[in-house]
Amino acid sequence: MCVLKQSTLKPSMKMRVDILAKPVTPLQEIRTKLHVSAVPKSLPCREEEFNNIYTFLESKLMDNSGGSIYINGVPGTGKTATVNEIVKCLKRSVEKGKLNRFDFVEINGMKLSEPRQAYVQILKQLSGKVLTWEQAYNMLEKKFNSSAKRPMTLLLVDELDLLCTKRQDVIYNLLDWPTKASARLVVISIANTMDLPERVLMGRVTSRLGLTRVTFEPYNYKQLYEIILIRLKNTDIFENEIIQLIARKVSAVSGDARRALDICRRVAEITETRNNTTVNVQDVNEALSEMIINPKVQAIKHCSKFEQIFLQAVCVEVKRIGVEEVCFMNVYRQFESLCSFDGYKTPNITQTLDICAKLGDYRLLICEYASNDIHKKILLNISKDELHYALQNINFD
Amino acid sequence: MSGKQTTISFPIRKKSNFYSRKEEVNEDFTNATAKDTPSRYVPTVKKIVTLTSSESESDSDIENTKERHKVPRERRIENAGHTPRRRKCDDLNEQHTPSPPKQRRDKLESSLTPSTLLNRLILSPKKEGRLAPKQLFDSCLSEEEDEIISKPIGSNKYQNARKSLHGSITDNLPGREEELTKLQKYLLEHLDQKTSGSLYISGPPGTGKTACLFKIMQQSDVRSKFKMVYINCTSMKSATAIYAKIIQELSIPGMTKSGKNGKAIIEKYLVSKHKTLLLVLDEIDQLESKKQSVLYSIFEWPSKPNSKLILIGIANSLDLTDRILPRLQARCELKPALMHFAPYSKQQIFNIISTRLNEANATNVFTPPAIQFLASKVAAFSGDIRKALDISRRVIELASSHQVAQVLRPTIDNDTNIEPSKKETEAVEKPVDLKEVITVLNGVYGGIQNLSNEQDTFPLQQKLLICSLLLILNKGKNKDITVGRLYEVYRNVCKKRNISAVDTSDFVNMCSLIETRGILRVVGKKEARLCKVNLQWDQEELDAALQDKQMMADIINDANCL
Repeated sequence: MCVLKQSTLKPSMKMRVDILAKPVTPLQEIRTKLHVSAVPKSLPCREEEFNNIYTFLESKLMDNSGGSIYINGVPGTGKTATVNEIVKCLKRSVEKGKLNRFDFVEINGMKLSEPRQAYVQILKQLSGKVLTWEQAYNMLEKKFNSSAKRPMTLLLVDELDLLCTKRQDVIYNLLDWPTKASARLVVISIANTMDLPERVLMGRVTSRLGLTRVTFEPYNYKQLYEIILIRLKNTDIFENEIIQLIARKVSAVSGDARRALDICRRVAEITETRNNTTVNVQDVNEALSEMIINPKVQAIKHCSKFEQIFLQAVCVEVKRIGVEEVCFMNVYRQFESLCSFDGYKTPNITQTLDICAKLGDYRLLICEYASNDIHKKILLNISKDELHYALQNINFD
Repeated sequence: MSGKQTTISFPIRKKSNFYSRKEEVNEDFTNATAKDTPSRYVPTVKKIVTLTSSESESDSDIENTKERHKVPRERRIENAGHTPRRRKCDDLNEQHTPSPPKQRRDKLESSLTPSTLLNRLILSPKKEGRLAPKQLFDSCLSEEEDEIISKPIGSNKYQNARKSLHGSITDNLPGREEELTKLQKYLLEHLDQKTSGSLYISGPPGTGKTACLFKIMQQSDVRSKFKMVYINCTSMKSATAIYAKIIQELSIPGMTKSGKNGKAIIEKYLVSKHKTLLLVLDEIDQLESKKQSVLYSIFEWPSKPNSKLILIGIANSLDLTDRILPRLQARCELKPALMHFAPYSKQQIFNIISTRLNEANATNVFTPPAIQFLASKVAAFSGDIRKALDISRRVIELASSHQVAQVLRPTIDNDTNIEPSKKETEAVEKPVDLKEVITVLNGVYGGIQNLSNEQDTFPLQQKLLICSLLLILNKGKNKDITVGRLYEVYRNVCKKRNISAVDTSDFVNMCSLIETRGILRVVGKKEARLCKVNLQWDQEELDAALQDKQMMADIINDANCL
């Protein structure tokens, strides 16, 4: 074990036996290009933010002073990609001798089992040792308090909000180190929430976080269009109108670049299964309807007849009494009349309870456990519109 | 084999310390192919451990050490006192921890388990690298790089100003003269009368509490008369861990590993003869525990006879001692003296910024009205000097990046990326004016203005969602809004405007996206449909921001969709 802890033995993965095939058809090539993991060499439409953060970090590196910057934005707006790109650029200018050497440490709140493991990760990346968090913290404290000549350290904290605990000691320490003159530490923190410092963090942590903040706005449709276009450079498989359609659809909801790329990839897959070479509008429509398919409507369509009638009965009962929460007994009365209306023999109470429990398991209904049988309360977990939409083309013969 | 052993013996001993001991064990085994060679049992590692932890040369179990091992060891002890490694060893001394890995080594030697076999792998081909003096961190600067750092790279006025406005602790504290003299008087009074006392310093973040104390602790007359301990309580694992930390800082012997008797040891130390102790506990509210036993016992120390302890607690809340330590009020001698650091006023912030700029010979980077405006804004919000410095630094950064006309952009060809041809801009250096300050301040504080400015980046469906929410709040009878109800209204709105609506799961997702902007809050129960939606921003302001657009105004006033 100690071999692993001293990291003299590098963890390796099993290699695959055969060589990975190169993409052959243009569609396959496109699909690899459109993959979310294939970060392009340049990040289109983020020039302003790039510039902003780059000048900040560059000036910090030149001044040898510490600081912190808070980057926020909804998922899929290119926060981490931009920061990584900036660090790459900074490293390149270090190679050219324009800047001094710096260390880059990256931790992700999501990858830590516990906030205090952050210390362990930071120390591991700085010196390659694995210690317990207390020892790691002491070593880091010593490092950042000693005034020995060290290069600057850039610390990227991704998913900052996950490091919040009740005491917030980890966040406090991470942000307190840069305020010491000897630390030479720049903390770049990334989170989704715009008002995280004001909403969640304590006053003293917010004060240390500072006011250097950069917000990544969701992409609008022009930007999404450009992003996809750059990935699809030199191919004419996607027509401009199709890309525009996808970009508009995505930008209307979330402005998430990942989603736009995923839809494009799905479109390419559909085109491939149809043995076409170029994408047409039909494929796009299919992919979009697949993406925004409503699983609940499908579930209702595939329910058994009595289950569908039961759902209807709940709906009727809600309409009758005007309150969302209904009692099973009343629903059963409606159920009975609906069944006899359609000419079925009504199942007895136990069977109906069974039906109700099943629908509860599907989460189409929200109901209590079956123990307090006929008096239990039932809530409809789908909107009435969806129910009508699902049942409209079922004919009760 | 044994020859090899002697050649590496020195570097091994050099490296020996608490953290890297295990590695050496491995190293030993890699060299030994025959595990039961008698010469293997040169307990280098074991010996070092006992040595570094007790410094006593006269251990009785050194018989089988060769004489030449001793010589380098002694030299190391003499000259290694100033390296970071060495300091760590000192810490170990203070804790007097027994070193468990000793046993592990023996175990490894005797057994042939898979893990020992793993340890025997030849791990490090780079013997030469190990001969170099070990550093605390790999990335220490070498000599030539050191020089690069000391030489400024292309300094101009902006850079000077930026540097001078840093947020770390400084010696010069304008605006806190009164508090400094008060503190000094307090300390010296107690010193003269040989009495103990406790002081509680409160104040909002960024008002210079810690900076003041650091400055006092740096003064030579205070330094010589007190034994000083500064502890930041956020680094404690739990409230009771403070005792172990204090003992470590005071380097009192007799601490056991479990730390159970820590309190007793400190109390014993306090009654014994010692120099007056100045104990500063920063962020003391982190020591809150269920019964507050830790805080109570710490605040009771000064009242012990002969304790000669001056205790200073720092925290943010004004009434911490009254609120969580009410029992201290009962006895007058226990009651801590209170001291409050008021938020900085406008004039003080102005002074601080202008002195900092003056020191750096960069006075004319800011126009005076710009500093005035900035100071008044920050003083009105919080009086936090960190914020003021941060904003002013940010303003300078923005200004300098504007003046570097060429934009750094991630072009397709990545290598030309950072060729922004930063022309020397001394010629056009203009002082920063109000405009830039306003830009920065709005970026930070103006939530709603931002929303109305960025109409085109705010996704349409999210706007529809907010409009539906406002519609319910304005026209609806029932203001108790669940996600399910909001979705129904939203669907009606969409149907009426002929916009395709998103489905429920997307809708819930959209709610959480808007939540990240802080516009609304989804108060969760288990089922997403039953979650409550609360508007966080001011309804009228949001209304006004959205009323500009024709469609949004229509939706907000359309009661039929309910």
